[in-house]
Amino acid sequence: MSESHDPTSAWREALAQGQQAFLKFYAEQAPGQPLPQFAEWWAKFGAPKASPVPDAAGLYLAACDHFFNLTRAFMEQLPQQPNAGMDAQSLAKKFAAGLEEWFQKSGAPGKTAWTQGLELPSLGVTRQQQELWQRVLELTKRYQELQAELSAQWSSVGREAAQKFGAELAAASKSGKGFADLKALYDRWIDNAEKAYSAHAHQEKYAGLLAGLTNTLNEIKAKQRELIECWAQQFDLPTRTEINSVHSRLKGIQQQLHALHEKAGAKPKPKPKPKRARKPARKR
Amino acid sequence: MTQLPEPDALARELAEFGRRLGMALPALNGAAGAQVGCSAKHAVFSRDKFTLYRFEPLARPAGLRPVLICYALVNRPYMMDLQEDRSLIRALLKAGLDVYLIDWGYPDGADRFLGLDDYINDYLDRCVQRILDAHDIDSVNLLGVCQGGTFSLCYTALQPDKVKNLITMVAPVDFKTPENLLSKWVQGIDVDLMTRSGNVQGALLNLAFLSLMPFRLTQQKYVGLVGSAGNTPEVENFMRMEKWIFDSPDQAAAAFGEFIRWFYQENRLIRGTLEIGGRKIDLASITQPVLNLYALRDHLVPPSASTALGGCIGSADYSPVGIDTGHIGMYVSGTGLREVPSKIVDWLHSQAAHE
Repeated sequence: MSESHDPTSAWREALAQGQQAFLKFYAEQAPGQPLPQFAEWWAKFGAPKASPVPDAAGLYLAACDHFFNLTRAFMEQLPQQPNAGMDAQSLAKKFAAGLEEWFQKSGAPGKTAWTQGLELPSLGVTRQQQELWQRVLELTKRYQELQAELSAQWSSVGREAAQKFGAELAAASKSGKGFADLKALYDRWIDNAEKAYSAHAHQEKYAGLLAGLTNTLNEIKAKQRELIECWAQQFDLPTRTEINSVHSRLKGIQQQLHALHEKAGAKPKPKPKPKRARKPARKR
Repeated sequence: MTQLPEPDALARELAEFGRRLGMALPALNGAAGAQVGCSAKHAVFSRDKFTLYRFEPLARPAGLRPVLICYALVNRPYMMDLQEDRSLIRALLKAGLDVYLIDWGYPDGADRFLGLDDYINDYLDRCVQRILDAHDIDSVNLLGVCQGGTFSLCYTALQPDKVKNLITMVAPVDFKTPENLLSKWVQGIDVDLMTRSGNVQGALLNLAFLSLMPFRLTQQKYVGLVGSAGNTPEVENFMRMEKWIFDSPDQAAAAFGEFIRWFYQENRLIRGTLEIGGRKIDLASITQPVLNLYALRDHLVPPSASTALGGCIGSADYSPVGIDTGHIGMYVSGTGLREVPSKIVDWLHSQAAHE
């Protein structure tokens, strides 16, 4: 078996050499001056540690890892308490704090080098495509920011739900009423979680976040479609815009056809039947 | 210190839960093919993606005008005829009613330019006209459900001579009441941008509906299912509901955009500024008898969204009836099935007595 070979290594090497040459040239031309943002991005582009694509899989795995750690830590608390002596409030607090940390970590936007490339000017024959890509990148960054804000909202929901739940357990304890089974306890947790969620979901801020996320995602889709259409046109493949145009014309023709059919086959209208006098209407 | 279940009881409960979970999986597997829709019907007319069905009678005719059910574009109409013991349509048939139903079908990319004008002034009107011609009558009883109720109101306002009696069920009229969470969420949505990419996926709407009560709808109901693991009919009921909930047709882009903008964002229906197909919709022009059925615990169409109808229509014969159930419970819950069909049948008989 041969060793795995990276077919891009020669390109990477050439790119690295070019970058080194560029940095050297820049240092000579503007000694002591920091690199402009786009030049810094260029200097890092292609470097193994500065991928222009956010490491989504890495972020996801880190979030999973943190969740399992959180669950394990929470479970470890349980057997340490005496059976009937669990301090529900402190457990709820720990649970809420853990949830908050998890949401924040899992929703953190990946700050990667590619976000710095958004200021690069579009040049040359592929200027239109470059602009579209830049817009997609900008929107993706915006989407991540909004997603992080939403995660923070969910973090608050989790915290407040746990607080409400803890308070309810404490109140039940004071009144001497316990919970007969785990299912009843679970149902109370759901009730509290829904209450906490509802309080956030009805707020303008939450609605604005959802709308922002939806609009951003839709714009990403629209821009991606434009990019695909640019590509399709190169190969004389049909685009959605062209198909839409055909559908639109077809609909118009269909309507005209239905109208003509109706006109041709219209039966003479029967005489309306005499209406019987109605009893006086009543409002209930 | 809080009194939590004793450890022995807890262990027993967890063991029982595990046992039931073990039973639930094969039971679920067995119920995967549970059929939906139980009453015999035949297609009387179809065009493009929609079909008008007529149900086979189950009792001696009650001598009432036919009832045309206009369902919503979101979700499928078989919810009204889910299974024999949970079927509003079956209850109406058993009362001797002649029931027609519009199935809007599954719009695809070719239908993206269908607008509300097409659905209301073309498709709905064609269905009504078919029934009028078939029965040689001048007007039908129209039953509009949810969004279909809103369509029915628009249609009745535009074609008052063709509707004898109007029944609206969980139909939104005022789209901006404070309890309406869905409305709050869509105010900031750029609808043009959303529909630029074509039809709106049913899965997206499902996500929005689930987000209204995420803990109950994505967790609690599945935990609850384990409790009924040994009960095959219950598991089958669950599977039928599950199938219906996630059987969401995509929405024709133009119609969806118009519905969100005109109804949810601009609240044109109740403000009297709505035009469909270039014709103004004036709710005050609805003067026929109206029965307005709404659910008191509706999280999709809050009661306030439906009851606003009373102050807008011109009818002197308006009957609002609140049923103590949720949106879906109107068709499938014990309360819904006990109260809704009888209210409809009694009301139609009472209206017929005045003709």
